[in-house]
Amino acid sequence: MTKKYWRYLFGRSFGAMISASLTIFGAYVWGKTVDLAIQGNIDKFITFVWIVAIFVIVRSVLNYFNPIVSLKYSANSMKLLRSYFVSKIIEFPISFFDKNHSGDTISKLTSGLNEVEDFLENSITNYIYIPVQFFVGAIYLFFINWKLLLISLIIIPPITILSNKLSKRLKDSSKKIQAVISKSNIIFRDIINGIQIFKVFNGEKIFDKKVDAIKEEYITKNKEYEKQDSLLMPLSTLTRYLSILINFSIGGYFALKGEITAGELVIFIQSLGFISGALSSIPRLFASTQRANGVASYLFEMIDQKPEYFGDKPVNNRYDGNIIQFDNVKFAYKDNQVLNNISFSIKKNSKVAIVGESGAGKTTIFNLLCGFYQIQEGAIKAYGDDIKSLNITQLRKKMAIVSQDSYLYNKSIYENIRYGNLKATNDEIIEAAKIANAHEFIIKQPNGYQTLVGERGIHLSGGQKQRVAIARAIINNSNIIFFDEATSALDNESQKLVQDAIYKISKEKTIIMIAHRLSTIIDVDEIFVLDKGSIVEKGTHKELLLAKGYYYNLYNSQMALTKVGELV
Amino acid sequence: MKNLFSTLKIINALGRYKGKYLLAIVISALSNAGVSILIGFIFKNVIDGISNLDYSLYYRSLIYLAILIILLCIINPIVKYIYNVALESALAELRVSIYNSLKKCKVKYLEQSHSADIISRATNDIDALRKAFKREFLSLVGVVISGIGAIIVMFTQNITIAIGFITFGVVSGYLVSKFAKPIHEKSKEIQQSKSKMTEYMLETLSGMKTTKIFNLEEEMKLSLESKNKEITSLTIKRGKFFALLYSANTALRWINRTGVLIIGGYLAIRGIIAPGTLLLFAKLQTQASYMFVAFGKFISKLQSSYVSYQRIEEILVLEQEKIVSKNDFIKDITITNEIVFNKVSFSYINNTKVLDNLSFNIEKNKFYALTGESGTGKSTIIKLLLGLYNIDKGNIFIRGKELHEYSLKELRDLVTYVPQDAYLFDGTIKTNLLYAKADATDDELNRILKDANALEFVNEFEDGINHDVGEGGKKLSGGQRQRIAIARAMLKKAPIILLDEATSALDSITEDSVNKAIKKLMENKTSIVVAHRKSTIKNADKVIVI
Repeated sequence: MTKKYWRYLFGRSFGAMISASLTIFGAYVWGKTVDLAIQGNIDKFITFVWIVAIFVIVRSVLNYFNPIVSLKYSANSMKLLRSYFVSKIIEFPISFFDKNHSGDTISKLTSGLNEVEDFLENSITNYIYIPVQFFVGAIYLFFINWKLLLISLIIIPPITILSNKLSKRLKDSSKKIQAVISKSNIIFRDIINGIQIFKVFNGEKIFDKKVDAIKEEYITKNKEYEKQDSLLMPLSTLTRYLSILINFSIGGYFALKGEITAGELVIFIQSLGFISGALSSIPRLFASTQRANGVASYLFEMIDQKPEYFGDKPVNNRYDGNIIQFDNVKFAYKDNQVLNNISFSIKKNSKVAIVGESGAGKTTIFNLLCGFYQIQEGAIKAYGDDIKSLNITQLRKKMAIVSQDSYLYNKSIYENIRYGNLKATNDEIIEAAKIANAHEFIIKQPNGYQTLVGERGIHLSGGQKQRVAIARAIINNSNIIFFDEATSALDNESQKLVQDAIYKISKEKTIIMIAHRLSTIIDVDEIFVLDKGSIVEKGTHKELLLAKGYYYNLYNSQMALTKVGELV
Repeated sequence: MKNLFSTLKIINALGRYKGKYLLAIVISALSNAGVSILIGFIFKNVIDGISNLDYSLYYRSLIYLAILIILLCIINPIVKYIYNVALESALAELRVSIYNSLKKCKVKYLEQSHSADIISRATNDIDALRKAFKREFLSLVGVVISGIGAIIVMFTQNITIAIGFITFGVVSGYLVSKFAKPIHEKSKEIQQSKSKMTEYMLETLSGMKTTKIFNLEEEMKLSLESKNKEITSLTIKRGKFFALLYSANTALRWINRTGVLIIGGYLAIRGIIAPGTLLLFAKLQTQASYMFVAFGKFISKLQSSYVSYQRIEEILVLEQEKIVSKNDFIKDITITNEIVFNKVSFSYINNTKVLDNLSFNIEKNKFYALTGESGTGKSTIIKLLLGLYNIDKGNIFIRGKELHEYSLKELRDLVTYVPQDAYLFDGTIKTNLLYAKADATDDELNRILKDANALEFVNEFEDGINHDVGEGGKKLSGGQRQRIAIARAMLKKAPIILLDEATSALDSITEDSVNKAIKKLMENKTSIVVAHRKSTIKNADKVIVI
């Protein structure tokens, strides 16, 4: 995948080749000097010094360009990777985010990417450097004395194979360590996001124990890893020094017999030093490649989620029939049968309400309509087509939601409202804020509309957050608006004003409301009463009261809590 | 120079393991350096043996070499295990220290900074330290010991060459220090960018549903992409500095080597020194000059780890929470009421006063409703009573004592709290309840769940009370979470109850039963409820309008 930047890699390879070759020249320098010293020839020596000078200049310049080219490769590749992963994650279906901790996912991603970056920056160039160094050196030495070369090289293959086997086990151990790190990150997330509860309920005792346990596990898993890693070390050492030993002994013997000069022996040993240095780093290279591979496959596994699966039929805007229709829908989430054979339809531009106990499935209906989950049986239709066949992005454009705990982004109030409609003008945004009864409190803020709301809108009170979310939904100008307990966090006065505003803008829209305060929904065209995942009653408010069934009881018990005649 | 030494302070991150780690890496360095130098001598002897055809010198040298290799194969793995385990243990303890600081620090630090930034410090920055200790620090010590050893031996062989060599070394060292500052600054910028990107990603994921409904996926990708580009260009800029440094050092190193070559070669040609000695010098010179080059490189890299270290330190020194009173109270009235607010003023940020000269009394065992427009400070009153923030002016009394006369534990034993948006910890329903009372039996828990009208839905889960609640409790619906939070509050049995709009999201049937349960809970207890619903206000003994 990082092949896009092959030209950097190519340039680097070229640079590595020259670099590696020059390294051998470095060995040559010393050897020649020894021979010249033994010969005692000054003139040849001076010429020789000039050659060395040129070599130094070339080498230095190379050492400037090589790392830069290398870096350009790794940095740009990382940019690609980060982009890729981020894009993928954003396309995930919602079910992924329910199953996985978001903080967990992010920290796995960042640690993983850090590892890969490290590998690309430091280790990958060795795949070029090492072979080149080896071959250039080997060829040169071959010409000096091929017998010696052969003997020196024989021990290397067996050691390499062995270290390869050992480094595979490292991959598993490093994965285990990553898992423990994830656990510790969950702790950090809990203590930071739930700090108030943590303090009030003395979470310290229990968390302390958890933290200790994780610490112990981390140390243990690391010890396992280190044990395996340490076993690789003698192999590196052996590869490096055994060659030298062989050279000194056999090469020295050849030199004593006059087959090679003392100087040539020096060259041999220096060069072999480079070659075996290169080779001894192969086990480590494999180890870090395994590690990086482990991390990369872990990351790719993580993002290998089925993306949202929908068709691309365009939404039929001119459809006049039931704009939303549920036919015998069954939906279970984990162990719960949330919706149990539900059927209902909603006419275009009507106002409906869904009531029922909490957990009865009301919010789920909207989640399913947005295509966040897959139903097991039945069909959900929007604008006359099964939503599975529709272009889900288009469908979502037609919907907006204001929920009981609306999510705000850590940006300014202005941006948050604008997110409802990226093309909105300044006037439109302020108008939306006014309708949502938010304009007054916004201009009282220290930076007015540019005030930052903080993570999840934490700098605003519950009611203020809600009103910003309502402004966002207003400016979204969608055809279907879903109000899920949207005014529950507001005091009575604000609630009334917002309620009025909603009705004002809802002339050409389909409105679906979930409200517990039944007094807010008595004017709707139809009420669906949900109990344990099934619709038990439907009708207008008057009809349901007359029916004296479930709704009737619900309504009465609520009215009992307030004085008659006083609307809450 | 001062910069260099302050960078080495990162060793303190290893806490009580720093001694073990240092000792192990020094031993490792000594053994490697020693072997290296000895090989130089063996080399000299072999060459001299060859040029003089001295067979016995030759054979002896070989035997020494074999012994050295075996020693190295034994010592190195052992020492490596020791220092790596010491390192990981130290890092594990560092994470624990971060946790310990977070659990005790003033709440304002957590509410003002981004949670992702803190998480980044506990992950990315610890990662950075880990790499530093596994590589740069280790190499630094190795290289220094190896270099100094070589220089010492050089002096014993030929002082002239040794001095000439050192001069070059110092020059290159100076060059490196010049590069240190810009590299450090760039590293800091890169870490900040990475942290920001983590922040954005986390945020994007938390608001995924909203993002999908409002079709903001592309928008999110764009803002993340700009951060991505920033990180990349900063990394490349920093890399250019590194490259320049590396190149300059290469040049210097070779000039140095050529110098030794010329002088040594000349002396050898003249027969003043043996050819073998020339090679010994070659070896020593390589070893020592590597020190000058690598020293600078490692210090520069350690600069970036120092940034990470500082970021972690910032968390470790966060002020602990403490209840502080700024005013002396002149006792001119007797305090008989359970809770008294006396002329309390408070602001979160210096300008906006959330509470201004507020006074009220709460009588024991009565139910008070706090009401008023949103944003007027009702939740703040609760936070103050929980000891999460300190007031600017005035006094708060609970049971006749000012808040600061209580320890935080005593204060929080007195109050129980149900928040507006119930947060549940990672774990099961049961583990979440146990936070209120660690030794509660399953029977007790079931009874409490019944009182909170939660038993029914809990029993509908296959694993019942052991049902996993998910991140922040998100596997439960809003109403279910609320009831677990209420059950948790009930279980604590504290005499003062603080509720923040707790029942506003339940349907009327559930709300009715929960109201009844809470009423039962509030019998013989003092309670303050931040309320919006007329029903709640109606039931209160007294109403305070803010």
